[in-house]
Amino acid sequence: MEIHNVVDIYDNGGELYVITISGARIRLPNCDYEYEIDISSNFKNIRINKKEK
Amino acid sequence: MNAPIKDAKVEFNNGLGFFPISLFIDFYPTDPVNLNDLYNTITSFNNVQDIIFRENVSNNLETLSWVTPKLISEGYYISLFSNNFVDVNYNRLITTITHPNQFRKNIKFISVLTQNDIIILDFDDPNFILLTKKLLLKYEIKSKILFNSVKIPASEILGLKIYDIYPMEVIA
Repeated sequence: MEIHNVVDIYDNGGELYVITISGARIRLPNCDYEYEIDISSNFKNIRINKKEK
Repeated sequence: MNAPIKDAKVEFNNGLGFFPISLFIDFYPTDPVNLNDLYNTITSFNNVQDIIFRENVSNNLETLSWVTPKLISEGYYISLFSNNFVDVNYNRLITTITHPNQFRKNIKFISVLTQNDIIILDFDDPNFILLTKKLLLKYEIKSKILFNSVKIPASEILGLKIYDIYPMEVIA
């Protein structure tokens, strides 16, 4: 699952949150993630995946 | 095994959503739906940005925990029906109370609902509305309150001089 236009990613007490360009603060499920920076906008596109056991 | 989505229908929402019209999603009470099927179904309804997850939400919390971050990041307004705390992203929680005793039993949950959230009083006795109104005041509940105006006509509520709850003709 991909989330676009992410301004910030941060960890709050073990829970992962993203802030999007619209200002939404979204808590992510228990996941692994990777991201790339969209060069045209400078925002991040992140891909979240279920944690590997 | 994934279940199909039971129903996905665009309807007037009687004030339940952020916009007047919502896409109502109902689930079967059996297996959860597939994550991608759910996302693709929702996005196939172009221009409907207001989503209400209605039936059997509790059976699909894992799926919803993955799809709601993406939907909210894309500007969707997400409401969901639940009578308990849920570990899912949402904009609005909608809870239904069918008896004043249920209010007392679930006060821990109800008291943390915010101004964004909605409580539906699904009673057939106007006295239950009066009783629940007192409880709402006592516990300083901030949520928007709707009542089932199919079971209790709005004129009866006016007769009781209750002016701060909204009629809802179609109960979910």
